[in-house]
Amino acid sequence: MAAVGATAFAALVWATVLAIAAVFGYEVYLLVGAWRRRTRPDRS
Amino acid sequence: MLSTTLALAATAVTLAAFALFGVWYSRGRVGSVEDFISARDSAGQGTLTATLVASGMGAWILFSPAEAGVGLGITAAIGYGVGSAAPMLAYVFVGPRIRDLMPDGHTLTEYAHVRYGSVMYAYVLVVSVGYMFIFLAADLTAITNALQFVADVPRWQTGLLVTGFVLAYTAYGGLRASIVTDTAQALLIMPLLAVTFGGAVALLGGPAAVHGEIVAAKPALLDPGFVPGLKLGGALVLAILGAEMLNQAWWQRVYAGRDEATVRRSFAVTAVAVVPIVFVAGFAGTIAAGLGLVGDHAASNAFLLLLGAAFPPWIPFAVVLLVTLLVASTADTLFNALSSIVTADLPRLLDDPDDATLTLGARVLTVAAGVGAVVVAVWATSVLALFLLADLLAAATFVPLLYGLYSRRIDQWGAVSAAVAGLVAGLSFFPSARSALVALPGVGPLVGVLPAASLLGAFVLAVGVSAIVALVGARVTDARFDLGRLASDVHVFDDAEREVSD
Repeated sequence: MAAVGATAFAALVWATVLAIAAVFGYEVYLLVGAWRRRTRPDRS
Repeated sequence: MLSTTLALAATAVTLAAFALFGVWYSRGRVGSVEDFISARDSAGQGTLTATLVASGMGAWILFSPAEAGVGLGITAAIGYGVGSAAPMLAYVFVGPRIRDLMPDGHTLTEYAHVRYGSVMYAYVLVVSVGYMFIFLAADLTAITNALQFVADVPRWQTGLLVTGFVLAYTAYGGLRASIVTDTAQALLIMPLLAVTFGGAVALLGGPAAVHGEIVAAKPALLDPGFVPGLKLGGALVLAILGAEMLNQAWWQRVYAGRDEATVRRSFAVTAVAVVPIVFVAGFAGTIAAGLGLVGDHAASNAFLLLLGAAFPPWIPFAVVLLVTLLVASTADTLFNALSSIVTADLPRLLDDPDDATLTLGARVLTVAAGVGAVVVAVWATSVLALFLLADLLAAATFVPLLYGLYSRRIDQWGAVSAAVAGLVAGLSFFPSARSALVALPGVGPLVGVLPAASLLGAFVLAVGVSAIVALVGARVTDARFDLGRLASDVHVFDDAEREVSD
């Protein structure tokens, strides 16, 4: 039981860290995309 | 411990650099009042989602969820995470409705004024300004606690330093500057949270060792069925939902989205994104408490205590310096919001004030709010308690206020009665208000026979009673409000100026 608890705890710790990293990556991706659209030369 | 003088000097230099950045970025970017408080239809899904995630990420994340996690464990931390997602989910539905009914709107107070009238407007104005003031005081409380903890800096010196620098550049900016500083906040705080939390757990022996120590010392902190933690988690969901539905920052961003579909998708993505970010700070508090690191220290410093146990002392200080910038960024947003409420709303309350009166009023209120927040920050010890009191006010108000977006029947007196009834019901169960109420002559015996006070009871009653009274109020009145007036009576400021000049 203790082993299950420790495994779940470790999974929660690293899943949370990875989830924040994923949100950070997505945020950077969105910001870079928005910046590229703003600075793209107008071809019309 | 670091030298107090060195810490103060480093904090002053950092704040001065941030103030210069704020002045530099804002120069020449704000051309009109409309630019200042709105960035209408300007943001696509990418930009809007980025600013929504960023706007939710204030310095409070490091302190308030940690305090909840210290006291009541992992269930409270989960409650904080879910609570932060709840208002974003609500805006998926309410946001497009606001745009649809009031396409030229700016603020929730102007909605309250047109939809209900001057009494509900004044009530919402007091609640939203009160909430922003407490938010400001809570952030200053957190940073004064933190610098006192890492370098023994007197609290009043930190409060004056931060407030002074922020007030110095608050005259510049507006929503566009707020969006860019929010984004900088998010880009700072996310890696900070992930790297320092993951690193601290690894350096303290890894998750297995940390888990073993917590289970041996305080197993209830990790128990998912821990009832007090579940109760606080439930209270936090309602508390954050109420507060954020009355947060002007989200109303501004509803209008910043390019169209209704963009607003809907962006709020939905944000609801998912904020959960792990808020949860990790609460989780850090739980771990710090489980490892016995908190002791007599302020519980809101739990995240820093965890870092202090795992890293050399300069790491927590570097984190506090970064957090000082986050506090400054949050404070400038709140100072700007307070200032814009005065400039946009004072004309409704005074008889045609001139520009000089409006400017003077905005500056006096902003400085008064800053000084008042410093005074509160010097005396207050709990960030969470400050937030919860402000949240209760908002929790009793948001249902009657927003019900008017969907019902033609509820009128001003129904909405005000519902909000006041919800507040009275909530306060009678709010733990820190109960003792004061019991001491009141005439009221004390009535309150004394009620069941024990609890935060969950206070928030359930605040939301539930206000909702029931609002529904009953809508049934018993003959009033029928024409929802089309929200579109016809609210104009963009530039249009109004053109009409005047024509």
